[in-house]
Amino acid sequence: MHTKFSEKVSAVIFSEWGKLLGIAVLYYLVAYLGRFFVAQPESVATVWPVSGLGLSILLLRERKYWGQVIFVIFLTNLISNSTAGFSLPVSLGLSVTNCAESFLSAWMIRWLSRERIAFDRFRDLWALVSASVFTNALTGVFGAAVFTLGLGYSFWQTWLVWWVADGLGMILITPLVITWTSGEPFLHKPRRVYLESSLVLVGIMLVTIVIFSPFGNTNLPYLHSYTIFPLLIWSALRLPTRHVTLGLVILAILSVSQTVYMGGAREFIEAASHLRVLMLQLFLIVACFSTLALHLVVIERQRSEERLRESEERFSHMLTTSLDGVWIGNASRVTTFVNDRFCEMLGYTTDELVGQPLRDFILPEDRQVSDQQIDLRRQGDSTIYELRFCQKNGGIIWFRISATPVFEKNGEFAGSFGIFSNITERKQEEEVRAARLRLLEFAETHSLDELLQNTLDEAEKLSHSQIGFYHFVDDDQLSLTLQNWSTNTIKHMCTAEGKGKHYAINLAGVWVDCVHTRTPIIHNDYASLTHRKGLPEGHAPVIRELVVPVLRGEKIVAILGVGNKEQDYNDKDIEMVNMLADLGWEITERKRTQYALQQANEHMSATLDALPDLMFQVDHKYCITDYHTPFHETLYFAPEKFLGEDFRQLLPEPAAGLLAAAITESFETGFSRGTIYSLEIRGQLRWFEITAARRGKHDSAHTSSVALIRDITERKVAAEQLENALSDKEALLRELYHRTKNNMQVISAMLALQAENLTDEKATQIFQDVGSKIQSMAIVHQMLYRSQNLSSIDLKEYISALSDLLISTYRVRSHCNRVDILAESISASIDIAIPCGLMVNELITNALKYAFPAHHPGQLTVRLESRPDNNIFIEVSDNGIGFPPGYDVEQATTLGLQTVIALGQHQLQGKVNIFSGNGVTCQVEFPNNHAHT
Amino acid sequence: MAIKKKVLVVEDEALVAMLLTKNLRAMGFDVCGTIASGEEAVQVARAKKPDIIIMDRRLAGKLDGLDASRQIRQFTQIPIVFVTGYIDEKINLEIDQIQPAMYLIKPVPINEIKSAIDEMIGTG
Repeated sequence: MHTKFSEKVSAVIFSEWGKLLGIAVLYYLVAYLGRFFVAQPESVATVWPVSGLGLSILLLRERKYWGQVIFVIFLTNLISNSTAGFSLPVSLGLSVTNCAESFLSAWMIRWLSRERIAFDRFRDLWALVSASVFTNALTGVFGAAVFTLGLGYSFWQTWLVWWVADGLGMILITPLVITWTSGEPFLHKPRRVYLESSLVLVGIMLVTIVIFSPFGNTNLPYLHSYTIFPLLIWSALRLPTRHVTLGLVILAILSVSQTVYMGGAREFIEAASHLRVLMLQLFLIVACFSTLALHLVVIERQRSEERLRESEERFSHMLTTSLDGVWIGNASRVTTFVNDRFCEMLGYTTDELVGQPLRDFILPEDRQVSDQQIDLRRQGDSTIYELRFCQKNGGIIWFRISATPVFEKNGEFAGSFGIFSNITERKQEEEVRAARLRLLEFAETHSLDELLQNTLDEAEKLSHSQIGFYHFVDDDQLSLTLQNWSTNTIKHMCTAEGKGKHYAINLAGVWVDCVHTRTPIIHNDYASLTHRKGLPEGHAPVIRELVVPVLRGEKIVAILGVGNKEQDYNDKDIEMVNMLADLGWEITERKRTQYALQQANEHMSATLDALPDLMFQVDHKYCITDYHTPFHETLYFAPEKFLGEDFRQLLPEPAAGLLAAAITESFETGFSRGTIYSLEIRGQLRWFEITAARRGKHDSAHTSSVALIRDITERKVAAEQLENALSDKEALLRELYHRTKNNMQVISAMLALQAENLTDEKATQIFQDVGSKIQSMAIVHQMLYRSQNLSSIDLKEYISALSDLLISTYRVRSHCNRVDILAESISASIDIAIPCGLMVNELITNALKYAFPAHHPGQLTVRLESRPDNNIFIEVSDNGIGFPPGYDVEQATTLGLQTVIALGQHQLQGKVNIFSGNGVTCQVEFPNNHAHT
Repeated sequence: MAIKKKVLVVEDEALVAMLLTKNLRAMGFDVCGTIASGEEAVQVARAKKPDIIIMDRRLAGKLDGLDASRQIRQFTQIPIVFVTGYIDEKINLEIDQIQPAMYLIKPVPINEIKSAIDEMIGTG
């Protein structure tokens, strides 16, 4: 409950209404107190503090609340004046005047102080005093008028007291309220400050009491009001603003009350009574204004000093912590100041630099530039330029100098101020870039050997070395080859032989350490290396060296080394040498590739020149993008019409369609071959064959096809001629077979006719046998001229026909009642068929003639089979009477069997097997590849 | 007793070879072999060292009569009588390069063969 009640009270107090009520109460109380300072004329206060309070409240509040505040001030004034015994019209007049005074003063102060008032600068006091003087002068007219009209007071005397009293109230109270409500903590300063303030405030209080009391007036006649000033000055110089304003209010309260009630200071008492208040008011105005003015000037000065100190600290901090060097020198360029960074960059101490001419530290080559620059300084020009300086350790450092001249007040040149930025790294990068460009240009027109030497020269120059060497590491990573030395090395440093020499890595010197570690190696003290292996005769002594490996993937492909720099090698040198070594290899690779490409191009060009074909390339829109042709006279259209044109629009149908189909096929499948088309060129029909291959991926905008067009007109004509010739020869051969068959048949017929006239049966039989043999050959020729290819016949058909012929020939004399032909279709040439036919003829004839006498009829079987290894197997068997007892086939002298054996073994290169058991069986197996060469 | 001259017959037509062999033997020659292929002819010529070879130009197998003769010339200079169905300049030139040799055109009566043998090596 308690908590809720206090919260409600707080809420009311801090609400807008609560604040207005508080303002009203405070205003009323201060007005009430102000009446204690009323002197002459009556009812007009000597100091009117509420004018300061009203003004303060308006200054503290935002403009949008001014209406509310003025209304409250008006009501409170009205009540206060009414309760003080003024009539209503007078009260109303005074209230309106007081409100107007507060409003106008607040508005003017805001305007003069540019909306910010904190009493921490003299400008604020000036605004306050201006408002106090001018607005009060104006509103005092109305106030005096009210008093004159309402109470019959002297107008000008009342105006003067009003003017001064209200102004004094403002000067006293407004700073007090503004500073004490500024939000600054009350006890945040050191204790001695509060102690000193307490002493000064007590002092002011005591001295004021003494000065303005009857005691002072009577017992200490030499005391005058100005004796308070030492304390006021003390407070102005040393105390915080709040305490100063408090001291002034204490002075005012005590001096006014003592003056009103006890006469005041000696000089006041001695004056006429109507002047006493005025003197007091003037005294307070002077005291307040002087104290506040002095105080504000002092704190402004303190603030400026603070800012200056901070600025100096910042500047000093900046100089000491700057990444750039700062140098200041006199007109003779003798150093008068350098910061630590400058010393650090050059490697000298401050003492070594100060007092020394800056020129002595500039690289001799750049001193002329420096002299030109100092002339510009003398003319008053500030410039930015770049120079090289010598470091204490012998190194060279690049500075970007921003230099400004310094002049005396009389205009005389006093020296210069320079900011030195270390741009060595940037310069080195520029030099490396320039070296890269030079090498790339050099590579265009020079050999690989010259390029490597130039690379070494550049590396040597950039790293300030005197030796340079470049080795290629073999693919096996076990040996390396010296490719080149730098120009300087060859001229002055090393006469040892070895260019192009192979080294085994494990036998090489310490410079191959980088191959083992796969990182750049620096040996700054070569002589101290315990594992060095000595140098070949003629090799310059090595003082220090830097060797970097060139890595490609997992392998080291080359190493570049430089040596004998005057200072130690460092990481920057590694970076530069690495870059050049890498570039050297890159260009080497590129040159090799270019060479290979050139070779390939030359090869391709020669190939193209040797091709008898028209080559053209078409893009995915069937437009010709490139071509190469060895012949122009047989082109359908002029070459200049090719490029950029869709060939389908240039060629007539059906050639265009056939070509497009072939190109499309190559786009889809990657390749097309064998499309043939013809074009009528200059009245002659010419034939072409296209072969096309896709270039690039399928369905890509970059797909193209390379087509070769071969003029095959001559080939086509030759083929046609060949075909015609072949056809003629076939006809001829067919005719030849036909006539051979006919001739054989004629011979056979002639033999048969002759046989009819013979009486000797044996002779007749011989004629018949020979006739049948001729017939068997005639059948082969008959079948050949009927065959498709004129070179082979089907043995099955042949043997069947032959069997039929023989059976019909010997049917009368034979008792063979059955002939079985069990044959497979086997294709055979004339060289096989004729000996085969003669053999079968012999065997069947023998069987028909001798195997089946009248008392022993039987049957005959002919088998024809295809055997493995492309062999032909023929078997002629009978179940006749067989050979006579004791008959030796091996010793047979009959022509028939000799013929069979000669044909089977000699001519057909086969095996003949004849045996007798149940009848006679003859088996012949021979290869089916017998042919004349 | 006179030593019979050894004749090697190289002829792929079995019946022709058989007839030729029979006739040569009847005329008193020693027919040391009747061969159908060029490859076999080279082997037999090396093995049996005949006095003369009657060589058909066309043979069964990879080697024809001229090829086989060139190989035979690498180890012996025995005379060769070629029997061919036709002759042209090219064949004539090739035969000239295989000396001593001569050719007869088919059909060849047996007495012409006898004369050719006599001409090349004399009568037995």
